[in-house]
Parts: sequence; C-alpha cells; structure tokens
Amino acid sequence: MGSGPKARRGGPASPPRLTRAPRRVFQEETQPATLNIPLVNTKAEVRFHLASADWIPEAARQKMASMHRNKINRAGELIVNSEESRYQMRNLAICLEKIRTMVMEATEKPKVVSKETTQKLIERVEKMNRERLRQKKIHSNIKQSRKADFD
Amino acid sequence: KEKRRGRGRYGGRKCGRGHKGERQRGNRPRLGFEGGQTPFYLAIPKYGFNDGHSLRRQYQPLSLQRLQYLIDLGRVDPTQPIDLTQLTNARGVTVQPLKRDYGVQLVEEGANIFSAKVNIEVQRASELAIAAIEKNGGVVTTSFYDPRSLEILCKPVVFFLRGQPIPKRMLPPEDLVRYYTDARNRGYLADPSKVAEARLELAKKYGYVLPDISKDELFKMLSMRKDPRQIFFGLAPGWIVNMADKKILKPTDEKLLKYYSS
Repeated sequence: MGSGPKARRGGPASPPRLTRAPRRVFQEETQPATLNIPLVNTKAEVRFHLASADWIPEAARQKMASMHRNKINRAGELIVNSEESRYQMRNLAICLEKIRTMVMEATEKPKVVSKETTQKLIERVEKMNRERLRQKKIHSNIKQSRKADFD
Repeated sequence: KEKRRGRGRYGGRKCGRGHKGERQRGNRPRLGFEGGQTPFYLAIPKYGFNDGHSLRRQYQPLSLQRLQYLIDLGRVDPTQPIDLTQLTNARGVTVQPLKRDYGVQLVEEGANIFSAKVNIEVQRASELAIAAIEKNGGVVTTSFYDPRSLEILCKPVVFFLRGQPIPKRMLPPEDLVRYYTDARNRGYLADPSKVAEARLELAKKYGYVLPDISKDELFKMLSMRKDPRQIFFGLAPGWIVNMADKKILKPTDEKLLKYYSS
C-alpha cells in the first residue's frame, strides 16, 4: 500500500498513492433502508508514508507525526478519509484539502512579536488603567461633593 | 330491526352528504375559512419569494448520468462537438425558450460513472461536472445564447423554413458578462491561456492527472469552438438556408457584410 509518493503531471511533486474504497453496505448497520445507499456512500481514502514523503519539509513531517498521531497506522502511513459527499471526486478533493491544511498547519511559524509591539501593548494597558482610575476619582469627587456633612 | 342500506341512484339515503348541517345542506363556507379564526393564508406575512420569478433566467439541468446514457444508446455522437442542437435532436433535453429558459446547465449527478470524452457546449456548468468531463479527456465550454438565438438553436429546421437570414448571436447582459469571461467557468469569452491554467488548477484540486488533449487524435474536433457571434457550427450570421432547393444564400452587399461580421 504505502509506496513512495507518485509524481503527478500538472502539480508540484504532489501526493500520494490513492486508494479508493467504495463502502459496502452490511446488514447490521442501522441506516435508512433506501436503495441509494451503495451509491450515496462513496468513501475516498488517501494514505501515504509520512516519513518518506520528501515533498514535505523535515520539520513539518515531525510536527505532523506528533499532531496527527491518531491518524498514523503501524506501517507509518498517514490516513485521511472522507465520505461527506455522494461523489468520489468531491470526497477525493476534500481529502486532498485536508492534507493541504495539515501540511500548512505543520509549516506555520510561531508568530514573533517584536519588542516594539509588546512595549506598545503594555503601554496601552497601563494607559487604560490610569484613565480608568482617573475617571473613578473624578466620579468619587462628584459623589462626595453631594454629601451633606454635619460640620 | 335489521339495518338496510339505501340503494338509490347517486348513493341512496343520505347520498354521502352526512347528517344535517351545512355539509348536508350544501352551505359550507369558502375554502380556507377556519370558522372565524384568522386563516392560515392570511396569518402568514407576505415575503417576496416569488418576486420577479417570470424574469429569472432558468437553465434546464442535464446530468452527467443522462449524458452518459444518451452516448451509450447512440443518441448523441461523442465524435462530434455536442451542442444544444445535438441534444435537442436526440431528445435528450427539452428546452422551452418562451418559458424564460436560457439553455442547459451541467449537473454532477452521474459523476461517479461518467466516462466519455466529449466536446460539450452548455450554458452553465458546475465545478465538479467540469472536473468530471475534463478528467475523461473532454472539453467543456459555457456560452450565452439570447432567447431568439436559443429558439433558433433548438429548432433549426423550423427557422430555416421561415426564410430569414441567420441573426448574429447577441453578447451576454451585464450581470452575465462576468460569468462568461471567467476561466473557471470555462466561459467562451475567457482568455484561452487562463482556461488552460484553470484546467490545471482543477486537476490539482480534484486529484487527477490532466490528460493532454493536444496529443489526442480527436484534438481538432475537441478544440472546435464557435465564434461569439455564431449560432451554428458551419453557418455564419447573415446566410439564408434554403431547405427546398438545398442551397445557402450569402449576402454580398458591403453594408450587410459589415453588419454581420460586426
């Protein structure tokens, strides 16, 4: 099953060998008894060997292995399923989209906030607090001035 | 005493009218009346669901399953470009130009079983349908036909018998120009290079290898496309087709030629 990624025409060294598995209906399953079931449930499954996928950078591969640990089988293949649509092609497109998002999440760099920005944010918060306290004191004065004291 | 039913004409005894009251006496109130309670059809507020329904453009759906069915039965010839005329002649679709139909749209119903290499021209097509056809090595184009051209396209013989010159196809209205100049919809007014790019994009999205149609033997047929002002494949606007004498008359006057070549 998990041989190396197949190079495709019309795309960057993109993916994987595809296995398509139209689901067979078993009697035990509780589904509404319509004749359309074998046509409606067309499942698409994509699997590829994560460690030998050279179209994903090394760091991303490690991250994917840890993030999607539950989707990797004993042979080291990452499996992505989709059975959301009645059409094989659309399910396949959804699988590929899922893989794309996985790789994107794995390759994104943590946001580096510059010193100036952090400084600005702290200053903002301090200013807000100062202003709030000032307003509080003003309000307090107003209320105090309305009090009638005995002296 | 034994209960005996009336056997007179029209039902006998109570004649199916029930017992006394408005029912028997034929004095029931109008349809929709609910005894004084505000009836359903008045209680629900109006909303413009159907506003302008007679001005909306309609497109007859053509599923890929139906197309495959027609090709398999031999009603539609995949070795020639498939046009609305071909589909109507094969009685694959019925288009009613007078009922605000603006043509045919491709629907992805039989995408799983579709396997035919065709050059199809429709008026609208959904993305999955385009992908399914291109996967099998075909070509899809979306083009616009104004109502007069559509009528001529669907019933060519009737038009030729009228003896009028073939009119030039009008360009799409403002709201449709954007649709037909977009390569993603394979519009007939779109840039061919952008269309090629869009084909690649679709192949990447749906995960299939895009077959190279230039290496195909039917490449010439697959790349046949109509001019934006042309209605029929072999005929140009301005020509008159004489069915009885089996002749075609072409205009020679300069002004007419200038008009028809627009």
